[in-house]
Amino acid sequence: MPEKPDTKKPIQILRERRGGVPRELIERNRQQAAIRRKLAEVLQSASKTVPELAQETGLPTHEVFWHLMGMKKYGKVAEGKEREGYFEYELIQ
Amino acid sequence: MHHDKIDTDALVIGGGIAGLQAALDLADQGFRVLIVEKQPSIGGKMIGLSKVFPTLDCCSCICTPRMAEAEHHPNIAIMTYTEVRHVRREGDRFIADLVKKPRYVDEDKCTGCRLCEYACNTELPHEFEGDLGVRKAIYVPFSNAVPQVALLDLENCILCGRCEKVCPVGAIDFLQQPQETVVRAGTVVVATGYETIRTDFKKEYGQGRLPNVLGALQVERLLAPHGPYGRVLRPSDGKVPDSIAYVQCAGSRDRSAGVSYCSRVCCMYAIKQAMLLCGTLPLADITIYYMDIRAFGKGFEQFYQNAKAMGIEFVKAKVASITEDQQQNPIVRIEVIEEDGRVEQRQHDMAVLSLGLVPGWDPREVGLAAPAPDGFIRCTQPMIAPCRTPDEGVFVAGCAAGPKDIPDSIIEAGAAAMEAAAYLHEHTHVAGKETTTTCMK
Repeated sequence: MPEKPDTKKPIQILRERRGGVPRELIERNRQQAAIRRKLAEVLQSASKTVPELAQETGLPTHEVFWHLMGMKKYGKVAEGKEREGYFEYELIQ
Repeated sequence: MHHDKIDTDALVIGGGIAGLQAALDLADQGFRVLIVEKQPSIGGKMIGLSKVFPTLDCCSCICTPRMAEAEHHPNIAIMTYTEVRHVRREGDRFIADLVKKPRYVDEDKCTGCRLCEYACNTELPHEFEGDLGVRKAIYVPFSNAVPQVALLDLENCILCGRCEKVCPVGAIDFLQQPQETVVRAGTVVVATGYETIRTDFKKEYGQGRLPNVLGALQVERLLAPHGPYGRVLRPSDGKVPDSIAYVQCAGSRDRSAGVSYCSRVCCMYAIKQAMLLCGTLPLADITIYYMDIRAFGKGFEQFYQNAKAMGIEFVKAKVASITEDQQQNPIVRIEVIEEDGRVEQRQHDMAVLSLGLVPGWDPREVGLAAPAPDGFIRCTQPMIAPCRTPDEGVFVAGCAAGPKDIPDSIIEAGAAAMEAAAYLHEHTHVAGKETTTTCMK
């Protein structure tokens, strides 16, 4: 009987070669997604500055700012007007 | 591992501005040139800078055409994301072993559309933006990268397969392997550039832990048109800085940091950045704490005087330490030398370390001669032939030989190309007659 050809997709072969995906990478991805969701939820109601977002989400300001800049780069939020030395950020619907 | 063989006239190690200029000067004379660049794009440090001093011309506007010219030159082949493992001499030729690292993206198919990047959900600090901005696990290195080809950071990828699903040309190649290449070349030009000393080099300056104490190359990105924030903001909370301090000789002329030499460019790049910040943030106070201002080049002194006239404050003081207050505002501790020598602590919104330049590469790693005591490539005849190295037929250009500014790097690259061309004529063959170089990105 002829041997069954290997039908695995390249990504499956790579996953096997790496012994699966490290748990900490998956966890980091989940946390990042949760932070972006949280920021988007708070921005649904109104434009906010970084300190305001940090206060409402309970996240440190540097973390809020870094994620916000990622969301800005990839077209999820836009920069609004400046207020007391901080820019407001608004969700792009 | 896949093996390739390339025969060429000149091997240029490093695809920064010096390497590109040397390659173009050789290629324009009819020699076949292979540029090897370890990063995923050519352009080196220069393509990440905002503007040049003292003319304030746009860096991208100078560097991008050079990159494009090298990419499209019929006599130049470029291998990016490739490392030189070993260089040895065999008769009149040099044999170099190269390893091209896998991008996990087919360079011939990828169009640089970035659909994969938008689909990816993993966000990481972007090295090109001095870790200030965000990139994805699969990304095009930067907007004017050459080649415009994506790259998968497998170490941080969760292998979700989104990139593969959205790629319109089927360019994702999860099973790509390192590719080994053996190059035979008549001459070698080393243009491996520099690194800045790490921001954690000195415990008195916060050891890289203070979020609002940045390195000068990070500020170049903040000032660049496509920078990480799109404007100048401080990283701890996105505040528009009202007061910015420059700390000169941070990792230069400092034996405690292991760098006793002057890095030659820090005074001028600090003045340039201060002038650009004056334009971007007209109400901000900019202070430069310096030991001496070394404005030695053409037009530099006038540039310095212009900066003073713009209201930039120059304070003669060596910053002893940098700490921060509860709002993460940097506090610099100085002795006011030109007044009564009192010790002061001054608060700023952001501090910039004018970091010194250190060697980016040790030639011994690939079997070439040991560097000079400062770690830069040794020049055997610095007064009459500054591009010659202890290895006959190997020439050096740009910051690989020591700190220098962009015009000096370009001049030296031209000189290295002439030396290399003369060497080729003398030792091997007539330009372009014997060799063929496969074109590779």
